[in-house]
Amino acid sequence: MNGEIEAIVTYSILAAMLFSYTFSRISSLSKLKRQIAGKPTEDSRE
Amino acid sequence: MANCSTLAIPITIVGMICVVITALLGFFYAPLVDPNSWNAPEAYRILYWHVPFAWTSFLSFCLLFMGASSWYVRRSESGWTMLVIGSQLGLLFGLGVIISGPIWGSAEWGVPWDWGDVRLNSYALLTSVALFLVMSIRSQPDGEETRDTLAAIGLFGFVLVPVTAVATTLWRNRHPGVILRESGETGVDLEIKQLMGFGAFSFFVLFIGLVLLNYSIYSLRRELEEQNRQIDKEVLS
Repeated sequence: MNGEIEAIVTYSILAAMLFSYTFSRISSLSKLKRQIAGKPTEDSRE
Repeated sequence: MANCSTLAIPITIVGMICVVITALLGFFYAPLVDPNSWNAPEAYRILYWHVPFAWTSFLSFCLLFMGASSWYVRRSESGWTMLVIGSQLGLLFGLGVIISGPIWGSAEWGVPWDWGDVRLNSYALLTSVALFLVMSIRSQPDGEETRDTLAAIGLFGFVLVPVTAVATTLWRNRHPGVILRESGETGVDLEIKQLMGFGAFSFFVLFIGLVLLNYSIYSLRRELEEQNRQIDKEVLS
């Protein structure tokens, strides 16, 4: 075992963390921009 | 503010792309470290993200410190926002370090953690402070008293940053020394140093993007609350 599997596992976990946080923030910002602009969002349509 | 909100998403996406490129270069471009000096040479590739994650977490804790100081000195809303963003990003990048470090440690040292190593333990405490702040900000009612208490904890947490930063020089047990500094002990290949530098730049761009993104979110939330208050006033009058 020279650490290749450990490296792949680590990058997968960190990438999942980083991507999920970043995309949740981008989606929050887009949603707020739509709300500010007065366009109906998914929540308000329900 | 409009510019900040407009730039946030492109800068974040550029940062993410550079971070992914760093990982790909780490796997496919960086040379393998000397198998005679390292127990798990392939696991060394973890460090191309682990080290920039750690540096970016220090930037986040600096932001937290500036926010806490600004809240105490000027009671400024933007100071409080900086504290909130700094604690969130400190937790994100700190968790990255806390997860990747023990995986690398178990491959290289044979044990995931060393309770006698000052850097490991002070860093874990630093991340715990960020976790405590994030959970408290979410669960406690917002008010001056809560903000004062959490800002004090943030200031205490920042004291651990210099302690953690110099720990490998003063009390090193297991954790490797400073990588980019020239020394016979760390002596790493030029390609590895260049990739570490590119990784640091990538994570710095991502950090700037995430700060702008969060700042835009908090500003827009305040704007929306203000709009709702105005509507309520008009309805009542």
